[in-house]
Amino acid sequence: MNPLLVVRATIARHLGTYVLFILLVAVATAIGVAITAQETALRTGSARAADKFDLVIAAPGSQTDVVMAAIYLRPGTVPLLDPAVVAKALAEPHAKISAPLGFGDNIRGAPIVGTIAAFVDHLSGGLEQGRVFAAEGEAVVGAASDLAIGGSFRAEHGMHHDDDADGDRHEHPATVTVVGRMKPTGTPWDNSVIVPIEFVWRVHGLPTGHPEHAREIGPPFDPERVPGVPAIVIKPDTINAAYGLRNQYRTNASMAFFPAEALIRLYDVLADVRTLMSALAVATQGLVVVAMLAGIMAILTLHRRQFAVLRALGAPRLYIFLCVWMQTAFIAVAGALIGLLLGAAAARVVSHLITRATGIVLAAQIGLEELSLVAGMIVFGLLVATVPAFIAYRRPVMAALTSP
Amino acid sequence: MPARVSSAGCGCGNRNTPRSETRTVRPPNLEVQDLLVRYSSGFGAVTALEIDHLSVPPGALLAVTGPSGSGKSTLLYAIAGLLRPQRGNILWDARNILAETESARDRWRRHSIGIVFQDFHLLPELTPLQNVLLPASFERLTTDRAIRARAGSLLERFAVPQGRRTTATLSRGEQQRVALARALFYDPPVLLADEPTASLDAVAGLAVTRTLAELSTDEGRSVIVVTHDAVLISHCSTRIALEHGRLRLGQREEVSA
Repeated sequence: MNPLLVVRATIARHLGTYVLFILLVAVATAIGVAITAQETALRTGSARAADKFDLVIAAPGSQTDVVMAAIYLRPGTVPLLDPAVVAKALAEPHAKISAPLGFGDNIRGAPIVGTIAAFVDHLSGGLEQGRVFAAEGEAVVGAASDLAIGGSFRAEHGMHHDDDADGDRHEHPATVTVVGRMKPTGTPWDNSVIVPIEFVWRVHGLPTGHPEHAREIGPPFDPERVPGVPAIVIKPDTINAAYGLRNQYRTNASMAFFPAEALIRLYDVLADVRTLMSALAVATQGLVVVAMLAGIMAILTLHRRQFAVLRALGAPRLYIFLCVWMQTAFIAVAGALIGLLLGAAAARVVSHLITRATGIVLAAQIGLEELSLVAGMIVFGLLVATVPAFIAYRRPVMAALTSP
Repeated sequence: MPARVSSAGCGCGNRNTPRSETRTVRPPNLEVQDLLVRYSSGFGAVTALEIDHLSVPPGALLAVTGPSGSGKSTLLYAIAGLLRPQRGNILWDARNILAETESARDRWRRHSIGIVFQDFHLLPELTPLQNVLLPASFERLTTDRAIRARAGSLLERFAVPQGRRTTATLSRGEQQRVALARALFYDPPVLLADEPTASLDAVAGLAVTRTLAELSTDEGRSVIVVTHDAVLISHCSTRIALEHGRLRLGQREEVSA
């Protein structure tokens, strides 16, 4: 048997209603897909952005604040490490790289980060253009920066243009000349301007880690002339060293942590949020299913005589069951598939917006989890479709044929 | 006596396929025995139909008349095996239809009985051809060329315009002719019609009346018509009247045309 003719005719008769139902299911599915895809993208994107930051040492306080400020370059207040701790960490023998991070200024809204050349190389894995800075007034820009190589720019106080709405915003007397561009990292550092740490220290009137009139940059630093910094990133030479250093710098004067530790806590919160949002999405889907069933039942009532006529013409009960089941299943399948596309599109749009806002490249993709969600929706829809189908299957023919 | 008639067909001989072009219609001897149909209402059980005996000879064109609510349609649908009466038999020759399983009755009804309704009950979004092909979809996944040709020739016979136009665009007379073509798709020996002319104007009604008469007199089918239409009644060979679900037999001559 083939009830497609009847299914087609019924859908054509109530096309607007069916389109509405399909859109409802699609939106409900899209919400679920977008939440899942976005959360996954946020995890992978943020984890990737923190990849190069093996061990972070900072002043005691919130690890999350340090991660947000030092890794994701988000504006925020981070206390400075004690200069003695800084001096010790910068001379750490078990570190392949020990890079101070200093921030708080910007050029045209792009955050300026002071560090050492070795960290630039570590972060970027070689430059895309130009060379690494070799003097205090030189800078390397991130891959997405619109500052041209060779251009000179004046630094402003504050992490972003709008940081100093209270009127504290002012230009520093020093300018930097861009000499190189990093390869894309998919992190907020792609929009940053990276300068020697000495530049940051100097424009803030601090000692530069070197003799007073010296213009050299980078390690070794004079322990007596090192000021405090918000954070130090260490790349330990071995895994054992990593754990050793972490323990060593967990003191009253400093904290040391792997960014992954802070991220896991963030992800726990994120998972809670996701669970909540998924629950809301499921509730939405439940409401949509109820609305759809109510609509289908209304359509069935309108069509009860049509089905009775089909039975009178010799259609088996199973034929009627399939007619109704296929109509509802069509809504479920079409809605779920369109929802998958809408959800993927929504996740991409949101990812794009987050990338623009944070610099963290998020690649929202449809994976097994999203496909499982959609498959689940379809299976659920196909099962739910049996309810009106069974009601139509059981409906007495005579009553429908002789009712007015 | 079986009548030899001519009708369009595919000639493919499959048991699911409409019969061949030249064939012998063998209408059954239809008998209704000791039939009681009751249903529950807010006022208790109501007798819809109570018939001791009714015999419809093969090839009869029978008019069933009576006031509204007298049980005419109930009788028609009982003959079609669409309801389970409290007691009684519907005999199709020696076969008691009511004793059959539901699926057997579905199959029997599909192949042996054509039904025409007052409001046609076509699917207006489909073309006339698709509407006529509808009964084929009850048991087939696809329709082959022969099946389509059969449906097409039925529409041709009833002068229904074919093409991509949907049935909704046809006149009411044309729609009833599509319904007739659909009813005859499996070339059934018995045709049941429930007020087939009630929704039509006089001209279209007369055309349908003549067609029903031809199906009986020329092709030998048994045609049972529930109607109030005096013109249609005048074309019938036999007339019965129902009142409060009970039968009063009458003759054609008793009907005022």
